[in-house]
Amino acid sequence: MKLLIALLIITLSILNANITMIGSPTCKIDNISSKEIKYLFTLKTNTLNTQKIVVIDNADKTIYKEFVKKYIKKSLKKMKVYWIRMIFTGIKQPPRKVNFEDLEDFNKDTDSCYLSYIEVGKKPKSWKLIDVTP
Amino acid sequence: MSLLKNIFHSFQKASFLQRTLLPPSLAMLLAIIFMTIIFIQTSRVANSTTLLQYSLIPILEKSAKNQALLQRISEKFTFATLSSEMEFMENADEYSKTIKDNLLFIRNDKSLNIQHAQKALNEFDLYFKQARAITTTLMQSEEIMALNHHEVNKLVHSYNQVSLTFDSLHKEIQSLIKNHTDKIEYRMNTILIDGSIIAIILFTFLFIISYLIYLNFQKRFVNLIKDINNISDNKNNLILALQKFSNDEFGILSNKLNSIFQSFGEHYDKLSVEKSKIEEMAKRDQLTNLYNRHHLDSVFNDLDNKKILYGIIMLDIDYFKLVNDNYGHQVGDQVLIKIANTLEICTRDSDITGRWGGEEFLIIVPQTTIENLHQIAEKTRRKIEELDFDVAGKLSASFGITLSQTDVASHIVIKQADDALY
Repeated sequence: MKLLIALLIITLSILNANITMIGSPTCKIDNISSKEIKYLFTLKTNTLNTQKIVVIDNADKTIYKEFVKKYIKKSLKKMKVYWIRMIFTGIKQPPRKVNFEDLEDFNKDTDSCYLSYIEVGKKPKSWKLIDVTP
Repeated sequence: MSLLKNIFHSFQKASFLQRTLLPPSLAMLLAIIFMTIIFIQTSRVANSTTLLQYSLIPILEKSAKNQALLQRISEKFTFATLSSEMEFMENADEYSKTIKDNLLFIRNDKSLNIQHAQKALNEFDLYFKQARAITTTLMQSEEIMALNHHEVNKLVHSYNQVSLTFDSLHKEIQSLIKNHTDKIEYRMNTILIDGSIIAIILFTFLFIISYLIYLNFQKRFVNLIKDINNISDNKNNLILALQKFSNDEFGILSNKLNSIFQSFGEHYDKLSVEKSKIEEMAKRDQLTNLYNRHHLDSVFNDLDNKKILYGIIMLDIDYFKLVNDNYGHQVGDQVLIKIANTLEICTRDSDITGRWGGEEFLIIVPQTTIENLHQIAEKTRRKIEELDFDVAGKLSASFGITLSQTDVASHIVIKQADDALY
């Protein structure tokens, strides 16, 4: 029974991947609120503490789903509608989707602060963890 | 300057009628110029208005419709993506066709040469293809993740480009409309200002011309009236000529009046001479040519009125009746003529000698003395006695002498002379 419960917990933890926010080395921010994450990743703003922020979505569908659920607090369908409207009306396009392995490629641009999210434990070496405040 | 001189000479040569017709003729000429300018400006306004009404406003409407349709296309693509219904794609296709038709209509208007039309057409075509491709992709996949970031970027860029170009196109058309409305306004103002200026020039010019002609006419009339008044005042000299100021109707009128006045003058002079003769004849005795009794009476009246003192010598031919009876009246008449001639010789020019009646003669001597009267009478008497009257032989005459006195009437003085005959 104990084994069964342990397996269930492991399975749930895998299904609900634990994500964390990370920033490129040039980022001057150490923590960020959930509200700021939502505003930045829906492109309603692109600055934080006067620094220009470029957000990057995770190419992993599971991580993306978890992120949308946790911080954007919308269903994937609603996000799709949101982005389609933005795209076809030329207002904005969804953030670029990048695998966590490729994040270090953005270090070349030292002018902007790149902000993304990853599964806990998969942080690129040069990037830093950013605390999320409620 | 020579042109002005020529114009002035032409004006001087012009007839009265031509000068009178000058202001209305000039008014008509200037009015034609005025109307031509107004007509040209009005035609331009009409052309601009026609272009605005039948070309620019429909194009502006199509441009505005395109902007609205572009948004509706994006909506239809959104609906198609979400519902996976091809009907929305077909709607988008229809809108796309309408937009293209509108853009072709705008582009093909060569008179306007709208630069953004072809660009808008190209960019819209590209956008629509990209949007349609992405919509098709999304219709087949439920995930936004399925989209290629580069393609989405191009689509967003295309949409913004098309939207900007549509805006630019709309602004270009609005600018064209504004240009045309400005031109219309400018031309209307030009019509108003030019019209006012031309009208002011026209009226000023005509006023000056009319005033100069008025002065010219006034001068002529005044001179003509002055000359006629002179002639009228100098009735005795009708030959005074009217001045000839020009070769026009005034000149002709002056010439004709001069001819008439000259003719009148000649007739007047002849009549005056005749009148003088008749008046002289009326004063003279027909036989002796001495003054008659009627004239002597008027002389006495004048002397009485003017209170001039005078002396009278009355002369009566002795036995003259016998001469008439014995030798006839013709001999008697010859005697009277000879006596009259003798009296003329014996008196001064200032003395007035007349036949008082029958064989009586009268000499009026103004401002004289009794001694002087005696001298004249004696001289006359001796001359008569020396005369030889042919058939009648020698004759003598009796004389009566008297001097007038203040406040004594002439007829009393004459009676005194008559009584004094010896």
